[in-house]
Amino acid sequence: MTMLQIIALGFVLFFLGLMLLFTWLSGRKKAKPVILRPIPVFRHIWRAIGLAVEEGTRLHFSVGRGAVDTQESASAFASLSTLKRIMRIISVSDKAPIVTSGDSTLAILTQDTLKASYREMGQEAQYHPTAGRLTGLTPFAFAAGTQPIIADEDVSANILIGHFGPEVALIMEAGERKGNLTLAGSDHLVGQSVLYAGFQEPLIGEEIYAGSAYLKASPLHMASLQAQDFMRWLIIFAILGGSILQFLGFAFPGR
Amino acid sequence: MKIKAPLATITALAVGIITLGGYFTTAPTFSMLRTIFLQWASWLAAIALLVGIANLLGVHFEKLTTGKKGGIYSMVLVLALIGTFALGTYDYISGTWGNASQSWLQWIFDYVQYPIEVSMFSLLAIVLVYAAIRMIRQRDNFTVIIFLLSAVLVLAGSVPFFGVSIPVLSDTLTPWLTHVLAFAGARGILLGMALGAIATGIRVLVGVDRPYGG
Repeated sequence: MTMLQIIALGFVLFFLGLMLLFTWLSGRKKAKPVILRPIPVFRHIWRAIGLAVEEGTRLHFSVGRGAVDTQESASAFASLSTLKRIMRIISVSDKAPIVTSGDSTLAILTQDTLKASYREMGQEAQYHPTAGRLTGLTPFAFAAGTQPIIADEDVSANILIGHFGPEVALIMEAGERKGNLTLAGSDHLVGQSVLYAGFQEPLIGEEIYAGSAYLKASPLHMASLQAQDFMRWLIIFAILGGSILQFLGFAFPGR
Repeated sequence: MKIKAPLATITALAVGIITLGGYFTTAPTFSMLRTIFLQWASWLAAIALLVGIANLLGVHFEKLTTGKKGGIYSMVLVLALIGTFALGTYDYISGTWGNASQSWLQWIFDYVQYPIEVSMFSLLAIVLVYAAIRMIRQRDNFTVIIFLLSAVLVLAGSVPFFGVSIPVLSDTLTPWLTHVLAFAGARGILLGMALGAIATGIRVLVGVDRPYGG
């Protein structure tokens, strides 16, 4: 085992330890409720769900096109986790939501997530295989395949969380044209800049991984968010400390 | 049915932990298992592609047969899919498969798919300009001023003005904005996203998030 591998393993185990610690702390009788910083998109998700339920329309959720065997798998899994949570909240809706994806493995996982959610709610009969759709295999084919769903299938709100490149602008534009409430976040840097430049209140950076915690999935989701924040501050202090030490003339090994 | 979910969870956790372990140790058993699992994942991804195409075909075939709005587009898609599959099969039988100058599939890519995707990319530029203007009208805060200022400075510094580069802006300010400020911001975002990805990975590994329906 190299030094780098030991550090990496230590980092992962420390992260896991922090998650367990925060879960234990939140489970105590005298524990104060965890206050999360407000992220407008997650507040609007409740509105989007409410809108779909009240109007008897559909919610369109897109998990993006991050393949599960690539680096983008984390955003795909975070998106599926948020979808699962949303499915539980939206169970009272008349019309089943439509979920789109731009990767075939992700499409299968989407269908599986939908099926499992309906089964958990005791509404397995409501599941239809076409509710989870593969709309295209290239970025623009994915966007082109998603646009007609927004336009023609009685959709009132769109939630896009996952791996989206610049093509997300075309999907968002379809939502804007229809007058839908559209909320989005991507793990792709160009996708994020497109969302920031063109649309109000997108999810930026690690916010896309926080969906399930903000939708109150479980104490471990909250704990993972707290651990994430703790590690972020640790990294900030390490960067600042390293910069100060280097400024003062300390020579780091390997530099 | 009651056995299926825990079994799927246990299998997924075991495979995940062994694969992760393979990254942190040089033990041959772990490395071998990791390689085998990754190979399986590649094969499954290839099979998933066929399942995905069947899903796409199923959705559009249903739209076509039930007479839903936009059925004509579904018909075009189904015909294009069948036609492409037939031409690919013909390529394979006639031995022109993979031959760039004689392959029908290559012809479809060069003269149908590529031009359409390029057209959509051009359309994207218009959509983005329109969306940016709408954003400026809707937001009236400090970040919009910074956004506009940096966009104008980077554009003016990157594109020569009637063939003449603007002094200071082209050689100093624009490179500093793109290579120092933008890089620093991007790295900050990437660090945060890496932490989010680790948190999600751990949640999947310990079975809190089960994206396999278990």
